[in-house]
Amino acid sequence: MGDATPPKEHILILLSLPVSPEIINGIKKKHPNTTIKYHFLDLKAIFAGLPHNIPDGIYSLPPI
Amino acid sequence: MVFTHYHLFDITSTHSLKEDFLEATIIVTLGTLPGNVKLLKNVKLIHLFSAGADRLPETPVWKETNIPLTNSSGVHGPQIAEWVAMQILTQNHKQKLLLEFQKKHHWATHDEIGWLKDWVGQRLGVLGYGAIGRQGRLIFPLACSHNLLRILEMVR
Repeated sequence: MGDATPPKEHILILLSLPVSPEIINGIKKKHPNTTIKYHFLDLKAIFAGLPHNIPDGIYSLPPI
Repeated sequence: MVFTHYHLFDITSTHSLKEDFLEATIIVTLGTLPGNVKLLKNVKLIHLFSAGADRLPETPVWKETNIPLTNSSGVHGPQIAEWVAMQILTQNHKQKLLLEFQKKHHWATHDEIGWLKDWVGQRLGVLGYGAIGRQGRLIFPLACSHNLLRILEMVR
């Protein structure tokens, strides 16, 4: 029997709207062999030209 | 760097997003990605929340990497199909005209409203049987009672 454990995945979720932590925790429970990080990016502020939380060098496609 | 169809942000930040890009093996995003693809050195898959990926061909991720991209095809099916059903019913029953009369506190006469036609025995053509068309097949019978409306599916 070989090692059946899949490699650990690091999932980065970039959200444009706040999401309940329960949803993220539900995903984490379903996928225990992963690390899940998520950021809420205030795209409304970005496209309105207001101060936002995206660092230099990161781009975001505008809404259609 | 200047890209034609998306914004490159010029603020500096100590936010950990860049570090998280470096560590990530899978990214789920609406379209926020680094301009420097070296930040994606461990990424094996990028999944988009959007149904399409129309603007991605302009980006370094598309041009400079072979990272597989997946989209959320079908994500708009319910919303658009419901919107279409609403618009047809609204138009069919002259709802916008009635609302105008309501705002004016005017009880319109039959001549002012004109004739209405219900959906009994009508036939609806669904041209294109993708996610939206398939959802429409579910919605329209609900909106007008079963077996009263014949759904004609025209598969591309």
